[in-house]
Amino acid sequence: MSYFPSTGAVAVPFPIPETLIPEHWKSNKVCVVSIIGKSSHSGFTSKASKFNNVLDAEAFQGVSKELKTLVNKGEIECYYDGDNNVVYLHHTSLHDTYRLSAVCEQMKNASEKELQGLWQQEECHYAKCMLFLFQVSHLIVISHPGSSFDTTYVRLFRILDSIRVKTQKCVQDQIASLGVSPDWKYNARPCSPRVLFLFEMSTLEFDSEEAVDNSAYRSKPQKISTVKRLQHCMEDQIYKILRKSRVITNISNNSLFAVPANQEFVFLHVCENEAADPVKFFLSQLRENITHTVGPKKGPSEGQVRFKEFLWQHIEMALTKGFDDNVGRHQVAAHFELAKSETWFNLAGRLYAMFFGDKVDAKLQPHWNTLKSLLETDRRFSENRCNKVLPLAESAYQENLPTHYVTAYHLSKLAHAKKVFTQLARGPACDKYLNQLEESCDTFWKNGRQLCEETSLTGNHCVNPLHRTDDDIIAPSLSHLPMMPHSSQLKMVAACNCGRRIEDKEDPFTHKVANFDFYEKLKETCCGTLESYAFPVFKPSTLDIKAATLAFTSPQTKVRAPIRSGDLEAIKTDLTAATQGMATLSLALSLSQPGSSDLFVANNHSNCSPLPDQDSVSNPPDHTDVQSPASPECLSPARQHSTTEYLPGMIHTDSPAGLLPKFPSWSLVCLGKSSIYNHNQGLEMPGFLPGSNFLLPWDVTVQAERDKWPTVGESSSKRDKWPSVGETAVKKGKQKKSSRGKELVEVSLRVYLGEEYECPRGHRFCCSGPEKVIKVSSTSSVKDNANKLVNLDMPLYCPCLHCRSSKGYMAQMMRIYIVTPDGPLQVSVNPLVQPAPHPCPTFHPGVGEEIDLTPASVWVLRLPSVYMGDEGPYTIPSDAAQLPACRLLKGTFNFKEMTSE
Amino acid sequence: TFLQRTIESTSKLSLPLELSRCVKLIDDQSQWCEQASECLLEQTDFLVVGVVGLQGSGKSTVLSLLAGNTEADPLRNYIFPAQTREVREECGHMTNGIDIHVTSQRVIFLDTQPLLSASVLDQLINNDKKIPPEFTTSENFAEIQCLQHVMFLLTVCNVILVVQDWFTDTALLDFLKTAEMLKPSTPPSPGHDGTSTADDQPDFFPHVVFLQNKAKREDFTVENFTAMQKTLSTVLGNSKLKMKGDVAMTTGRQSFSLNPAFVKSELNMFLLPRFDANKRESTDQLQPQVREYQGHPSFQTLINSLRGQILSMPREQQTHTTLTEKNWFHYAARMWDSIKKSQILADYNRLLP
Repeated sequence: MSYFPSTGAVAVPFPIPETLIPEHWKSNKVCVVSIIGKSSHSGFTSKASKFNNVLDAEAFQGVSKELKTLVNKGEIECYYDGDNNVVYLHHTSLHDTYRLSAVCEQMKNASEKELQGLWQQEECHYAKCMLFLFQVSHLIVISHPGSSFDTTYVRLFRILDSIRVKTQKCVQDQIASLGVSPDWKYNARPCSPRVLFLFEMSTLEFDSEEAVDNSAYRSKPQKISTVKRLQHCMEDQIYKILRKSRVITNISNNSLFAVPANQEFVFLHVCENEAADPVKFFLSQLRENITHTVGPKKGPSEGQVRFKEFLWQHIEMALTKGFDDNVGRHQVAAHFELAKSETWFNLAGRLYAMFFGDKVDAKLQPHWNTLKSLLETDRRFSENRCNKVLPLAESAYQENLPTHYVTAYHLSKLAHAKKVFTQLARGPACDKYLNQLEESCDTFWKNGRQLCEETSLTGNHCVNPLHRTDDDIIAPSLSHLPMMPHSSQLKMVAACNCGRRIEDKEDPFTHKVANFDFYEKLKETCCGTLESYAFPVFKPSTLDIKAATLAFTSPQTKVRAPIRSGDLEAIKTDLTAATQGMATLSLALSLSQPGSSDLFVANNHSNCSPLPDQDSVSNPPDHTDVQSPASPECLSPARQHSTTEYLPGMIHTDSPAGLLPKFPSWSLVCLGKSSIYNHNQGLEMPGFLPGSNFLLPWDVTVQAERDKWPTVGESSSKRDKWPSVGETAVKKGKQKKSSRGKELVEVSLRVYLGEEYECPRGHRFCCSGPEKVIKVSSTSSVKDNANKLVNLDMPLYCPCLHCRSSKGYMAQMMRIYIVTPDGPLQVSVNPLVQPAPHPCPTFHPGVGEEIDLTPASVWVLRLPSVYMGDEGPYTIPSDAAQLPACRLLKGTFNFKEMTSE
Repeated sequence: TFLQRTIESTSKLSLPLELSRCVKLIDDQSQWCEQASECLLEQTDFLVVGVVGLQGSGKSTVLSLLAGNTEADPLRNYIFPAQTREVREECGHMTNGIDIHVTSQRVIFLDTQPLLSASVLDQLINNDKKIPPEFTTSENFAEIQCLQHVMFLLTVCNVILVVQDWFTDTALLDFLKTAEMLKPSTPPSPGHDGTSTADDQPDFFPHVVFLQNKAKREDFTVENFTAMQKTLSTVLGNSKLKMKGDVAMTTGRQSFSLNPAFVKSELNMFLLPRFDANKRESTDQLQPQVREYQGHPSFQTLINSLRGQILSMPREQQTHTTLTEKNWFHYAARMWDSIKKSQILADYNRLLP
C-alpha cells in the first residue's frame, strides 16, 4: 500500500510529523513531484486529481462542500507513494478558484478592503510557497486550466529566481546540519527542478469539422497528429518566452528551473475528464445501458493513460539517472540528487518552518520585503501617485484660506481638497492617503486656525480665534488658548431699562449679557435711582449651587401640551376644568406624572394662572373681579423655590416649578409721577423716530365716590388743552347711590399705554396696533387710542421704518409704558410673550400673578431682549409668514377698582 | 456646379457604407486606422460594445454572433475572424490590435487582440526590434500594450464583455483592476469658463458583462452560478465599473434552474455553452431516440437572449457632451493618442519589475 498508514489513502497537509512516515520507507530515496498553478471552478476535482490515476488511488480529493474547510487548512497537500518512492505535493492558493470562492463566501458582510489586504498577503505567500517548492522538488507540474501558456508566470519566475539567489545563503545555513551532499548544501536544492506544463483545455478538442484523431496517442512516426503538432508548437512557444526572459538558461544550475531538451514537457488534456462531472458520466452510462450498445469495457480513458505515461517517463528518469537539462557547449555537469525520504521530510520540514514559521529569520526578512515590493507593482504605483498628488490636494485646501474659520468652512474646503485628490490619485492606496489628507488638513486647521464656533444669540458668529472665556471651566486641553470674551464685532444700539439713555450694545453671546448685564451696567449712570420692582430671583442658601438639569419626560410634555401651545381655547377649557374640579385634574396629573408631586402641579398652575385674565380684559365691564377664574388653590401657591439649584434659562410655561433664574431678564421701573408725561410732546427720550414717541390713551370707567374723585370736566375746563395725566378724564352722567349711602359716580379715567419697539440700530417707535407705527406730524396730535394694544395680541417684531430700505432690520418690542391715573383704579400688568410659532413656551416674569402698579406714576416695563428657551434662543424667524406668531399675548393690561376702604 | 451639388446631396442622403467584415481600428503597430470612419453617421443614438479576454476564449466568435452572424454560418464568413484550425494548431492568435464593425442597428463592435497572450508575446520576441527602449523586457512591453487596449476600451465603450472560457483567471481580474486604475479621466467638456464644468462631473465608466464561454453543465447549477457571481463581485468590489443589473441569466425563457427565486445576485454574468456541441449532437446518429441531457437551454436561445440584453443596454454618453458616431470616432482617436502618450502608463511601466 502506498500511503501514510495512519491517515489512509488520502493526501495530508504538509508539513508532516515524522511519526507518520513508516519506518521501512525511511531509507528509500524519493523523487518529489509538485503540482502548482491555477485551477478552474469545479466542485469535483482539483488540479491534483490527475495524479489519482497515476497512483491508482483517490489520494487527491475533489473539493465538495464538506471538504472545503478541510482543504483550506493547509496550502500544500502531501502524498507519499512509498512503493514507487515518489512524494507528491499539491499546492493550493487563491488562484485555485474554489479557494477564492470559499474566501469570498466567508466575506459575505466584510468590506472589500479586507479582501484587498488578504489578496496582498496571499500574493506574497503564494510566491513564497512556489519558492519553497522549487527548492525541494525534482519535478514540478504547472497546471493551466486554459489552453495556452499563462504569461504572467514569466515575471513571477524572474522575481522568484532573484529572491532564490538572495536567500540561498540562509537556506544553506539551514540545511547544513542535515545529511545531504555538499553540492546540495551549496546549491540549496537537490537539483534544478524540471518543469512540465499541463493544459486542461485545448482549442482543438471540440473541433467539429475534424474529429479528434484518436490514433494521435499511438506512436505513428510518419504522421504527426494535429495534437502533437500543437503540443510541439506550444513547447517552442514556451521555451522561447522563458529563454528570452532568461528564466531558463543554458546551464540549468544557474536558473530557477529547467525544461528537458529532448523530452516532451507540455501535456494537453484533450479528452474530457469524467470525474469532473459525475452527473454527465452517470447519464452517459445510463444511456449506454438503455440502448444496449455493446462495446468494449472502457478502462481508464486515453487521456489518463497518456498522462501517466507522460509523467512517469520523467519520474523514472529522476529515480534512475537524474535530469541533465543543460544545453550548449558548456559541459558543466548538472547537479541532481535524491535523498532518503527521512532526510527529505526532515529537510522540507525545516525549510517550511524557516519560510513560513512564526519566527522570521532576521536575515531573511529583507528578502521577503523585496519580494513583496516586487510583487506589488500596482500598490507601489498607487502609493507613488498618491504621494505626488497629496501636496496638490493639501495646497488646494490651503488656497485662499482666511486666517481663522469655522468647522463648516473647514469641511467644505476639505471636501474640495478630497475632490482634487480623487480626481488625480489612482489605485488601492487612495483610501489610505485620503485619510492622511483629512488628518493633515485637520491638523492644519486646528493648529491655530480655528475660529470660535460660538454664535451670538442673534445668530452671528464670534469672530475671535478659538479662545476661552471667563465662564469656561478650565480643562487642561483648553489651557493653551487665549482668554477673551466672545465677540461678533457687531454693535447694536439699545436703550436702558427706563429708556432714557442710549448706549452701544455688544452682540450678546449669553442671555445674561443680553437681558441683565447690559442694563445693570447702565443702571449706574441712569436708572439706578429709580424705584424698581423686584422680580423673583434665585437666592442661594449654600456655596454649592448648580444649574438644574432640565429633563422633560414625554408624559409630562404630553400633558402640558395644550398649555404650551398657547392655544387659548385649550387653556381656557383646561383651566375651566381646573376651576370646576381641581381635584380631578390634579389627580389625573399626578397619576400621569409619577415622578412629580402635587406641589408641582399646583405650582405649575400658579405660574400660568394669569392666563385666563385675557378674557376679563377683552371685556372689562363684565369681569370686574379679575381673579375669579383662578381656583383658591392657585391663589395660594405653595411656592417653595429651590435654594441650591437655579434655573439655567428663563422662566416660561415649561420651566419646572421651584426653580428661579439667577438674575431677572425683565425690568420694571417707575420713572416718576404721572405728571412728567406730557401727551402733547410724548416721550422725550433719545432714539425715537419723529412722531412715534406717543403713548395712547385708554379710557377706563370705574365707579367712584363723587367727592373723592373729581371729574375731568370740573378740574379742567379748557377743552383744547389735553387733560393733565392722572386726573380723571371723562365723567359719564349716570350716578347712583352706593349701598352705604355715599354717592357713587361712574368715573372715566385715562390710562396711557405705549408699546415701544427698538431696532438693533437703536431706532425706537411706538405702535398703535399690529404693524401700525404711530406717526404724528409736528402740527397734529395723536388720534389713536390704546384699544388695540389692550385687546389684541401684539407682534413681538415689527420692521423698522427707518431701516427698511437698507437691510430690513426688525425692531423688537422692548418696552411697555404705562402711565397710571390718579384715581380709584388699580392698573396691573401681566406680560406673556410667545416669542416663536408653536411649539414654543410662553415666557413670563415668573411673578405668578399680575403686577400691580402704583397710581399716578409712569411705569416702564422692559421686556427681555432675548428669549432663551431650553434648547437655545428664540430668534426672529427667517420666514416672514411666521412673524405674526411671535407675539405679546393680549391681556397684558388689567385694572380693577380700588375700594376706598 | 449643379451636377456637383446633386452628387453631394445624394451622397449625403445615401446610407453609409455597410461592410460584411470588420475593419482595423488599431493595427498591430498601435497605429490608428481611419477607414472605419466611412461607416459612421452623424447621429447620436449608438452603442459601443467592446470585448476583452484571454487567448482562445472565443472573443471574436461571440462578438460575430452578437453582431449578426448565426451559428449556421460557416466560420470563414464570420464578421470577426475566429481562430482558424491552422492558427489553433499553432496555439496562435487571430486578432491583432483592435477591429471594428458597425451594424445597421448602430452598434459599434470592437474586437481586441487577446490579453496576456503567449502567442502575442512570442511574436514580439520574434520581432525583437519592435520593442522600444523604455521597456525593460518583452513581457512588460506586451503587458503595457494590453493595458493600452483595455484602457482604450474602458474609455470609449458603453459595454465591455469580459469573455472567459474557464472560471476564473485571477490574472485577468487583476489586469482589469490595473487597467481601471490607469484609465485616463474623462476630458472636461470644452465649456467657456474651462475649469468649473469639469469639477462636478464624474468620470465615465462603462458597463461590464462577464461572459462565461464554453460553460459546462455544472456551471448552470444554482450553486455554482451563485458562487461565481459572489466571487466576481467580491474580487472586483472596489471597482467603479458598472457591473450590476444590466444582463441576467435569470430573465425570460431561459430561466430553467437559474430561476430568479434562487439566484439573488444581480451581477452582469452570462453563461454560454459550447456552441459546437449542438452540431455534434445532431450528427450523432447512433442514439437518435435518447437525447443527451445537457442541463441548460440551447446555445441559440442563450445567444439570442444575450444579444437582446446587450443591444438594449443604456446608451450612455461617454463624454460630458453628446457625441455623434463620427464625433465618437474622432474622440476615440484622440483618446487612443493620449493613452499611447499617457504619463501615468509610463510611470507604471517604470515600476514593472
